[in-house]
Amino acid sequence: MYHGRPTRFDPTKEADALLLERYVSASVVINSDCEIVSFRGNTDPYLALPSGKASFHILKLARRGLVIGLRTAISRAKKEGRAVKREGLQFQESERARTATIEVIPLPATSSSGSKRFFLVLFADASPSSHLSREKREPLELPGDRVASEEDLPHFAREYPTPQAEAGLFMEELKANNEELQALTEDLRVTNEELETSKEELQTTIEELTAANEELQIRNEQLKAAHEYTTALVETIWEPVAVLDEGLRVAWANRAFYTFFQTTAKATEQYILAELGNGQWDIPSLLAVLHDILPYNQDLDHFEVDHTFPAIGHKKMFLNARRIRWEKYETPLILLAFEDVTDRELEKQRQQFLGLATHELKTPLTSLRAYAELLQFTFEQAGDLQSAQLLAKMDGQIEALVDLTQELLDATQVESGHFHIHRKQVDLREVIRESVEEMQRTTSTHTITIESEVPCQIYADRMRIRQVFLNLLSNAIKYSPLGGRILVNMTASPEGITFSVQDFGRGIAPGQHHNLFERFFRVHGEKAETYPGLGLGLYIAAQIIDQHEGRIWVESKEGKGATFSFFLPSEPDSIEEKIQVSLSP
Amino acid sequence: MARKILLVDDAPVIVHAVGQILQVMGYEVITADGTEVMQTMTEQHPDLVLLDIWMSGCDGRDLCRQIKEHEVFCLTPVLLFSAHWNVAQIAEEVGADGSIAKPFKMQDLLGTIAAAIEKAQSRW
Repeated sequence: MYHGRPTRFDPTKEADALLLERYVSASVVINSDCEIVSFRGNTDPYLALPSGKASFHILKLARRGLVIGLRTAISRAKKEGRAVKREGLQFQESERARTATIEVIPLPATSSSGSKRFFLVLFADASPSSHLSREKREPLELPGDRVASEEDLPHFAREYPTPQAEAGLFMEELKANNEELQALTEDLRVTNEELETSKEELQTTIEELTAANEELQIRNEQLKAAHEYTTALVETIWEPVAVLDEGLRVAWANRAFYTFFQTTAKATEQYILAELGNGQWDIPSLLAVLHDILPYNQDLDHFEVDHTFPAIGHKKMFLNARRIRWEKYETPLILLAFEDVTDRELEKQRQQFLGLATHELKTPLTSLRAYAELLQFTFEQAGDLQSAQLLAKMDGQIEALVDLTQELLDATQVESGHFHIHRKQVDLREVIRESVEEMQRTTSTHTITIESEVPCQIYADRMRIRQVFLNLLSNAIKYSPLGGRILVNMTASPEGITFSVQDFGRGIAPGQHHNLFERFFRVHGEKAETYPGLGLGLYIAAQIIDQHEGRIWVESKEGKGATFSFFLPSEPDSIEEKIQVSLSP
Repeated sequence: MARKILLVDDAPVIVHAVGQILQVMGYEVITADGTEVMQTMTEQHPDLVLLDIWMSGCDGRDLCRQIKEHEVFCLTPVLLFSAHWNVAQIAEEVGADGSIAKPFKMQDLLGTIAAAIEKAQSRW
């Protein structure tokens, strides 16, 4: 708020101010420190702004030629407390020689000025061209137009100093000028040193900036490469990926996204997620979590979506999202990945069904086998051997059915990762003997012989190794339909024991050896279809041996029989690990 | 005197078929569902329990533990029989005296039962 009094218009003052501005002599008011406090009239011919540090010191502003005269006049005015005039001072102004008259007049002290003293310095042009100039010094004008007399001498002496006094003042001025020059030289030296230091600092700064610039260029290249790498990665991955802005608007999506959802960039980009397709993503709980990702830096993990899409049908998927920064955008974004688990879920259901089905199959098989064996026993007891033989054949078929069911169940467990072995210290020599006896009972056309055996205390799952051995023996019988010898051998080495089953049947072509232990693989060739089985027996056998940290292989030539062998380590790595763990504190 | 076997299974066809075999082979067969096992044992004092693992509303593993922790019946042999692939391991974990995997061969069933009864008798 303005509280000042309104200025009253005073025509007299205004006129005085105008006249002063136009007709006043060039002059300045200085204080006792020679600092100019105000300017009047056109002082440009006499004063000029010097280069360097800003200053209002009249001796620094005065043009060369005027300085000494000015200094003398000011000094005297200060000392004597009266006006002092100096005339005929030669100086240069705009490359022109000029002459000036200066007068220093002490201003009367007022109560407001206190102890400070002020002087009015008047400049007048005395150049020959000027109407103000004079050819010669005019006689001193005395009051009353009278001629000067001896009485006026003291006045002259005061007005015109003696040459000695003038020389003394000149010497003082020279001394002062010399001191000033020395001070200026010192200032220049310091300034020069400062400039040198600044130059060095500038040089260092330039070098640092150059290095920083090079570093920035390298970083820029790296960032560009990283961006290209990331874009290429996201573009080429199979998983659909979309990038959303803070308003959940699709900024970008990869190729897999468009392929998977059978849509286009035009129908996707710049659309809000909830508006896409038939509103499949308009799920409040999903949108709430996505909205929280950027402000709270939260992640979205395995958000399950089960939806039937118009173009791609029913899909089950997991959504994962993270907060990211992308150089193309100033604000952070959301990377949203869509993990299609439909097939995985179907596979899981298939595995569960297969497991349940095979398990449930075992109930009727158990009763069927029990009844068949009971009947066979009853007929044998009654002496009806023909009926007993028929029932024995039926039992054989039930046995085959049981084996197939077991194989299916085992394979299911392998696939689902639930196939495990339970090892103990066992004598596998007994297991081999039992298996040979059992299989010998099933065939009258083959002779199974244990050619060599060794003491065999080993850390293994007895039932599973028995299963492997029975499988190898039954294959040997199956693939040598004309009968003959089947040889069993056991060989010990410091590392473990090798078991082998050799038949002299049709053999296997070398080209098929590497596929033998794969799931559902069956040997090709003449009358191959007459050999029963699902192609799971050797696959499961290989899984069992693998879990024992052993290996299984075949040596065979077509028409020359086959030898299936497996090796079990006497000290599996996992046992050593177990011992180390148990010994540790 | 015929050995008495308590047969516990929730599948009637298994109970019938296995029961027939055991009876033909000279065993006395008594049956019970999962909830009646302890009471039947108290009343009948079987020589052996043949116990299915997964029965509707009942877990054979829990029943086996109950029998093995019982002050009177702890020495009565219990055989688990199941279609589960890992029945031998489960039997060991719950303190059963042995296991029979379904579908079993008659000879295996009878051999395992006879061996378990003989072993239990030798402990008396």
